[in-house]
Amino acid sequence: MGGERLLVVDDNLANQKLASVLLEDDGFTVRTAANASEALALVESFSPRLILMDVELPGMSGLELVERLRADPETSTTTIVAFTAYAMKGDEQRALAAGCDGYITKPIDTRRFAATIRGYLARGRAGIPPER
Amino acid sequence: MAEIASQASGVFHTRICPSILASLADGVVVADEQGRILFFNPAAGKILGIGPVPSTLEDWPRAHGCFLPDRTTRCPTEVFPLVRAVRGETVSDFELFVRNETVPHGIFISVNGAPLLDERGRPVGGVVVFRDVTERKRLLDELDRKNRKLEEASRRKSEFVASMSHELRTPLNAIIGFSEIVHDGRAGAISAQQKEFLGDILTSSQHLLRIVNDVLDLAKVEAGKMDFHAEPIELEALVQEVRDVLGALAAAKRIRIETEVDPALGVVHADPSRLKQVLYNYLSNALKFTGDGGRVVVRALREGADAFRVEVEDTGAGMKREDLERIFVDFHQLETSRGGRQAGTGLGLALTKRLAEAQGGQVGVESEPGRGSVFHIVLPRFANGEESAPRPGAPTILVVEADEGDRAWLARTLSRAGYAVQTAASGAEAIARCQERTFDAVTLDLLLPDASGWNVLRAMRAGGPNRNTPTIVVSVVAEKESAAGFAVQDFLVQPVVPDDLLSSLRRIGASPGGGGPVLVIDDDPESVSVMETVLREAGYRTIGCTDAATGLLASEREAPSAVVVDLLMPGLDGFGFLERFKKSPQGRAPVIVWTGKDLTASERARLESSAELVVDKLKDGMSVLLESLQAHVPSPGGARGR
Ligand SMILES: Nc1ncnc2c1ncn2[C@@H]1O[C@H](COP(=O)(O)OP(=O)(O)O)[C@@H](O)[C@H]1O
Ligand SMILES: [Mg+2]
Repeated sequence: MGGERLLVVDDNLANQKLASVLLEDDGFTVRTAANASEALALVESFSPRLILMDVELPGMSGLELVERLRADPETSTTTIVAFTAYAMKGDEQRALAAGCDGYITKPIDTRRFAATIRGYLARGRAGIPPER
Repeated sequence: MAEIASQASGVFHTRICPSILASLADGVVVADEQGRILFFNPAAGKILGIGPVPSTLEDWPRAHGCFLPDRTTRCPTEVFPLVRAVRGETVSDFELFVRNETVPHGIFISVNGAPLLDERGRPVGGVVVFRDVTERKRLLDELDRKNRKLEEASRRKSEFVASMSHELRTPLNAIIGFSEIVHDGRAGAISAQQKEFLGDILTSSQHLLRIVNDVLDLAKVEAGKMDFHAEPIELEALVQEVRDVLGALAAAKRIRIETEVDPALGVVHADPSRLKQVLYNYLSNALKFTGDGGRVVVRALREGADAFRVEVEDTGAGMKREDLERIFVDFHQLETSRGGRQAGTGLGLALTKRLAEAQGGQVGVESEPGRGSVFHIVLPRFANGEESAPRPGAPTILVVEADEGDRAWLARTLSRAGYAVQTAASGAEAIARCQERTFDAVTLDLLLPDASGWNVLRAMRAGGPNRNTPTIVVSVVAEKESAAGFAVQDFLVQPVVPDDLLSSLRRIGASPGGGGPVLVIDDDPESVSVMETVLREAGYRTIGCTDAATGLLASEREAPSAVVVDLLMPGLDGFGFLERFKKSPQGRAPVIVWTGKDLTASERARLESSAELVVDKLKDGMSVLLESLQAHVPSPGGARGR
């Protein structure tokens, strides 16, 4: 159970499962949420090191949720990676502007996915290495 | 002679001129310098709906219902065209709205006016000429409304396409992802037949994904929302990659594919994935429309000094002349000779054309029915834009990497960061490259097809131009221990993120020098664009951001050579930015604070310890900023030390 704690937020259950299977196989401890309120509850009880956030959620949008998390001192430095099937120019900037640290486009490359997430964890928030 | 002339001019004045004025469709009114109406032609009366002798000029707008084009503001006397003409001004295409008892619905008129001058050029009155433009205006308004409707429809279409592609890609993520996991045996052992079937599912879903992506790409280029990333390309290898993808199809139809890359072509810079897309479209068509046993040639040649041309020639069905211009149009497919539709979407060539044009290139085709076709694309040899050819003097990195995808990724990452890049796919190639020249750094894969990376390193260290070249091992195997005994400067385990690689290179002293862009951060978008324009004119490359958090992220993606930052911004302000930026690996770049704020002594002290310079927006101005920037970072056009 020693793996780093990750939270996967995605309303599409198959995609949620795919991401968590890949990350669990890589040794992470993963929890999942399908909407903003589930996500907020888990952020509180589970305090993940990294949140993989589908930016298209029903109700509150993923980016609004990110903005909210960024405003909270508890989560202002948690690594958040946007996860989306959109790929228009400007979407990436919007995600970054909302406070995401990176951006992964679906469909994912299952052979690289976990390593990419590890990369984000190592870099920490906005490229500033985590405090040693 | 003079008599005849003056006679003629007399006739002109007394007879010809009045009859011209009487038959003109345009209204003409003349007033003297006191504002008395001297002349009023019939058309003027008809257009304005007033009798031949109107009131004096002064109260004309009031008496005859002249309004500004908003239809409600009575035209003020000072701007009334005839008043201005009498005052000595010229008026052109001034629009008025006229409504009175005779024209109850109102009309729009467009007025031109000019002063009347006497022989010595002194103003003695004014003349206006006007016409009814109500109908023209109505048509223009209607056109405008229709245009707006069309724009709206096209915007909705783009939005629809974007959201549709989102909906389609979402389930594909799970389909492709889970198939891949099971296919790779990562979810337990599977039989050979299961693996084969899963391979079929994967191939088909990749195909579906390609169609979805084509549709999305078309919408993207159409909306100007596509990014291009140019980098040095080895055309021979790129063509081979596309041939590999289509190899099975060619083999099934026994079609021979030949590649002819002109050795004189040299290096080209283009977006490899987009070029592959174009080549794929041409080549798949060539195979589709060529009969069994045919021949297809892919050719790459130079086109003038600054462009290159890629051609795909086939011995297939060919096309009639009148069809040639239609095939590059969206979704257009020609009737086949057998009648009926071919498989396909008709998207390929439309997308190809848009991709070429968006990169400053063009496409074309020559064809003869029954004999075959030659499709071509011409692209600039050095794509301009942010990722162009490395600047002279940029450090050169040798990338030794067996894996095709990783090699492309490394080359792309490095050239985006401003390095010049050479690549080698095998140990032998790497050793050969190392004998040719001294590199500024080498990235080394350990698992090479013909040798271990350690053998390459041993050969390098044994002597020659790269005896002391700093080397970073970049490999999937984490056998750090065996590095002992070899002088390796860093060890990165794949997959690597760009930052690790770039900061590692910086650490070992191979920085792209003045290659980085100047980062401009100001919350006012207007100021950002002005600053960017000024800096670009001075020869700098720029990246603009309207908030500091985005600025930090941008600096991380590409180390800036300098930063110009505003102090007062909502969210993270200039002080906060400086604090964080200076701690980051890119923090060595000089920072110029560009502010209109009156600084307190303590603020100034705080800035002076972290920023290289504080320039006052108002007092110092742009020229001081530019001068001091040039002192820190000479613009890339000029001489530059490393
Ligand atoms: N090499 C070729 N030989 C003959 N006809 C061609 C060739 N390439 C394209 N065409 C014609 O142009 C049409 C449009 O091609 P394209 O846009 O690639 O769509 P698709 O391949 O999906 O039909 C094709 O349907 C075909 O009629
Ligand atoms: Mg096609």
